[in-house]
Amino acid sequence: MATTGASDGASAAKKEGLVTLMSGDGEIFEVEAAAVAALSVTIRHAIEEGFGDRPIPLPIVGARALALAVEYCRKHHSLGGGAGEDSAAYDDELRAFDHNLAKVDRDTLFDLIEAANYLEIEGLLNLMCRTVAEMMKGKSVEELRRTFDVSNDYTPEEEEEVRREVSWALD
Amino acid sequence: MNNERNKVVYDLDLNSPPADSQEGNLISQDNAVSAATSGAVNSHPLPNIGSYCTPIIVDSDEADMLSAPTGFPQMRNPSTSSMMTIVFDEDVEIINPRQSVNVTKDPPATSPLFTDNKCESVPPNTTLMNCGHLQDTDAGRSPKKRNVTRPTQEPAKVVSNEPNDEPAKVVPKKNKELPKNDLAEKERSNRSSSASSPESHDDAAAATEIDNISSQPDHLLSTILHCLPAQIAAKTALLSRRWRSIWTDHPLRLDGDSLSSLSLRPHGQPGRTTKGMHRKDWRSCLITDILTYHPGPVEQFRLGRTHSGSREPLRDSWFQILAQKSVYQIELDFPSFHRRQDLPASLLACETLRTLSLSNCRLPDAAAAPFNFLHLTDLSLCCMDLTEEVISSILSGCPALARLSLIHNFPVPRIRIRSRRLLTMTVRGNWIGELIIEDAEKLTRLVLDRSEPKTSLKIINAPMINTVEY
Repeated sequence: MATTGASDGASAAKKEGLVTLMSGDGEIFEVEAAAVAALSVTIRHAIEEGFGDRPIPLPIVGARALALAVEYCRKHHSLGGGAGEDSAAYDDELRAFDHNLAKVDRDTLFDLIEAANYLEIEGLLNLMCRTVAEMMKGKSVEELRRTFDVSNDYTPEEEEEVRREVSWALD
Repeated sequence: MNNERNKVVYDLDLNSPPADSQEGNLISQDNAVSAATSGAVNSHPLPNIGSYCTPIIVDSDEADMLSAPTGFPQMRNPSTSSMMTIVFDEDVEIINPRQSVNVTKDPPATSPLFTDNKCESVPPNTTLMNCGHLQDTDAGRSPKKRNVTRPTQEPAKVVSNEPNDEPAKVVPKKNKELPKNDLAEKERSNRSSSASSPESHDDAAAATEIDNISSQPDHLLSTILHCLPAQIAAKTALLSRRWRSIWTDHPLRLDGDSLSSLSLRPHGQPGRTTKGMHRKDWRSCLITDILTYHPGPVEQFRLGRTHSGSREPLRDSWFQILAQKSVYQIELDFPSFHRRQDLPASLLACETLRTLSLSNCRLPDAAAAPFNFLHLTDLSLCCMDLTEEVISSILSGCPALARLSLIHNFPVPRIRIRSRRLLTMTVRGNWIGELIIEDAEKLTRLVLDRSEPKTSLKIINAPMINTVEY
């Protein structure tokens, strides 16, 4: 059953319950509209605006991040009904899924943050931001600078002033 | 008709709660219910009033309220994060060599393809995502992945199931570069010159791998700070000027229970003092420091579990600062009834509050400073010594209140509810003698715990109510 390719793309896109997404790097994904629309505000709006039967362009979302984001939507839609972490439906399986998703390599991590932000998938965005936050814990300022490659552009006077401001937070 | 309805008085005798309410059986099947109660229920034109659980029907008003941000609005602006350029050419590998695939170069974001495309020009690397009706077509070649496989190992399988009879997966390489700025470009060259082991996670390797946090827009960095305790988030101000400005604009979420004494030092003096660490009131000092030095707004202020043990009083100055900084949410949940805390009067000056949760506290004298929270939508009072007058005063001082919880408070002979915006009310374990819904025109849901055995409920005017739930 071959349904891909340029000739079949249109008919495939019109299949019941599917929506076509186009990543910034030109990959086409056909996904269950209900799942992504339940989790992604951006796609929900796009469908409402009549994108249901043509590809929804997602210019700044890479194919890989999009695939992971769609997987997140599908999983959370099928298992948790799209509910947040506080809901009873957020069970162990979803927790494990999120835990595994957060283990992506660091490039993908930041790609996913951008994707979740663009697609407005709040749960995914929070998950990924929490992951970065976890990476920041337990590090000194110098270690943070090294880890995230942030260069210090303070003058010594400025730095001393900031140091006073946040003295309560320093080890 | 409304007038008629307004005059209907329910006298639901809660002395005889249904024995079978655990599974939602209809109360009318229960002999324990008085005939008067059943009659009142049955004769009322509104559906579903009874002492059994019904599905909660959320009306549009409540839906609006529920979806409204109770905290600070998330500052998300997708357009601001479009600073990257995606390169997707050589970084593509073809998993299945049986079919050569022309990787379609990504069209520019402004291409008409993105706005007026009808799929005629779908690239050959179309990928179907777990479409149910297509799932088994290529089972032999492309195992189904209902669960996510680690993308670092097999990104292709996470991406999709290839439904084509001749699957050829186009997969971005694991370490594909996504240069987003000059810094990223620089790192790219660094990496290519020493690209031996990109996965090693020692510090040096980490330093060359992680460069893209700086390319994130401010609001996403702020979201990341949101996930950190204030003490750790504050440290980022020292990273660079940009991070400082993000920190200072960042709405503070201060959880007194998460503070650590390690950081305490006297005001303005660099260097840690061991003396400070042993001060009994170190937590209070730290809270004062944080509120004083953080220049931005305060979103949330929480205190309770650990503070209760210190017997430190709540400081009036905190709430003065919180009022100045337009605090949105205050939670003071002290665990012990025997160590109830006196709430400073300045709490009542926090007029921007949206959410207030109090547990084991003593309210300030209402006569001196009445409740006046014009924006408060959520109020939870737990283990408090309340009177009918205090509750009435609170309700009249919080005109936007939508959700009210009264839980395990001191016994009160009578409570009268008059509120124009109240949507949901939860009453549990208060031993209220008489609960009178005098006028709550938007109240849709009333949750009465069965631990209120003596409560008699009278509903005088609540035209929207559709659920009374145990």
